[in-house]
Amino acid sequence: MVKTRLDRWMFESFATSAPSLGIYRMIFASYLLLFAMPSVRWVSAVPDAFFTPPVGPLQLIHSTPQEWVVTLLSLALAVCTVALLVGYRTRVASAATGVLLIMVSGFAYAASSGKINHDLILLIVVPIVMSASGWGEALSVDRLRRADGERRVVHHWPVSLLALFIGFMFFTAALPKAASGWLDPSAQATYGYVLHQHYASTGGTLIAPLLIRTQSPFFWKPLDYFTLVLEGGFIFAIFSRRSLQAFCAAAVLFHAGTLLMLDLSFAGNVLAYAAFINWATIAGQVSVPPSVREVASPVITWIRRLWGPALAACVLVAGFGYFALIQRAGTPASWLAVKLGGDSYRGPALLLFGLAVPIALIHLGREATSLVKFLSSETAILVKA
Amino acid sequence: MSRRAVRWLFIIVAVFLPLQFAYAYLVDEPWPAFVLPGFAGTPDRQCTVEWLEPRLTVLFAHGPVDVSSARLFSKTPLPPYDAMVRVFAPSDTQLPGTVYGLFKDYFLKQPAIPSGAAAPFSRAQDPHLRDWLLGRLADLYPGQAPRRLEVRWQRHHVAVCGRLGHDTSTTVSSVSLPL
Repeated sequence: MVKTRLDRWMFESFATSAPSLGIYRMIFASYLLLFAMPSVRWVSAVPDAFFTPPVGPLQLIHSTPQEWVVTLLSLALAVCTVALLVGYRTRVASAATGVLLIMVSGFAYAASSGKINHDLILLIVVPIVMSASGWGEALSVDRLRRADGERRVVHHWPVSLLALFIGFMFFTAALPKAASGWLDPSAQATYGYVLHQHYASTGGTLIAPLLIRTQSPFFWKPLDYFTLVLEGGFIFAIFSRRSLQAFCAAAVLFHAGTLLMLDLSFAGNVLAYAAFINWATIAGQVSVPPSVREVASPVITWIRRLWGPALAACVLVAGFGYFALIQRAGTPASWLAVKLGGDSYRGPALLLFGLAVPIALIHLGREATSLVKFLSSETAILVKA
Repeated sequence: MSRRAVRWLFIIVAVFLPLQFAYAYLVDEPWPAFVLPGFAGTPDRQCTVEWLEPRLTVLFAHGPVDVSSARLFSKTPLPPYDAMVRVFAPSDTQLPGTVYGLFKDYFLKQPAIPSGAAAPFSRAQDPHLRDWLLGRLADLYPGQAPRRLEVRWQRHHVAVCGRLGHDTSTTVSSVSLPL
């Protein structure tokens, strides 16, 4: 019985279509390219005194990597991410993107005297886990170059595995809080952290100066409990697709709040949550203009007929071009944020949350409406009885 | 991948995740570690917010000049240099490795720096670091020859119960690096 339920959860709960996975793949890769590509060339310019690799594979390296090594790995990451976007050799490109992110971001942490930021870890888990999902089976170069009628092979268990990672990681955030006073009604932990960041943060905070004017526990204590329920509840929510989607939507609002109050950006996590959205349903409501189909048709034909090594060369050139672009101007999102008067750290995150928060609010609004309708009908039934 | 293999994969992951969590919190944080920061406790206990911050002063022939960490590390992105400046901690500073220790050190800015003047951490005495410092200072202050870098670790206090107080600071420790 338990085995059947677990099997159902692993293999069926997060069933989705190949087009949905394909759309998610493109959204994820686009986010990496536009917002989150790590810039680590500065690592090779710092002396070894700063280089403190954390426990793990990076401890095989004993000194600051040379510039050509950092450049080569960053270039490889750019190429793999472009390949992931277009769905070329998707399985390999996906896994390689995750592994290269581990190495490239690991260099930055090692050169930062070993200080690890946790904002990238889910961005690393996603491409490694999803490489087994068949997310290159639709809307991809790989699919275009297969014979017509060849069966698409997608697997749903990687999405369940991703849910397990996310649920457990939130649990690792909830447990220390629950064990250290966040449950205590007389303590206001969120207020304490907002205060601390207001005074001690190097970059300052966005709305903390406004919020700390109130010391009312009726304002601050619910935030402590909301955080505990959200983070502690995730590990249970992963066993239902609907509840996980609701928790992910709430988490988007939570991360937007931590950015505004604590100057901490976990924007990348939003892209992991996007794995649980049925993108094909959303895309089905968007009609493709005939002009776009007219342009796409010869391009698709050209991709199908192109000689294999030439196609690989095109992906390489695109990756090189992207790498050269970001060396000069940074990621497109950080460039845009600076142009709009913001900074390259918060700006891209604010842009992303500007898109994600309305979607999260709409979803939570719909769930709340469904819940109210359900409770009303149940109440009516009870009253009649 | 067969269903049986997938089941084993899930079992392995389900066992691995708590083990690496325990290791990261109790021993040392690896990279990659599949944990999120815990934000344990309340940093405004005893109605005070406290943090340690280094104040860097370069001694030139004409006098001392304060230089911020941001300026010294201007060629690195914002988040890392808060951590990189730890290399100028005193030699008897306890360096944390666990998730909570790193969080307390870097996010709460409460490194375990003991009081009093002290010799610099061994890494700060690296001749390559000295060369790098001289290079950076030459970029920032061309034509001037720095003699010494003084790093004073200052503990800041703000009273936060009732009316929010002003920031007061006291020097906990100081480190001097000849250039």
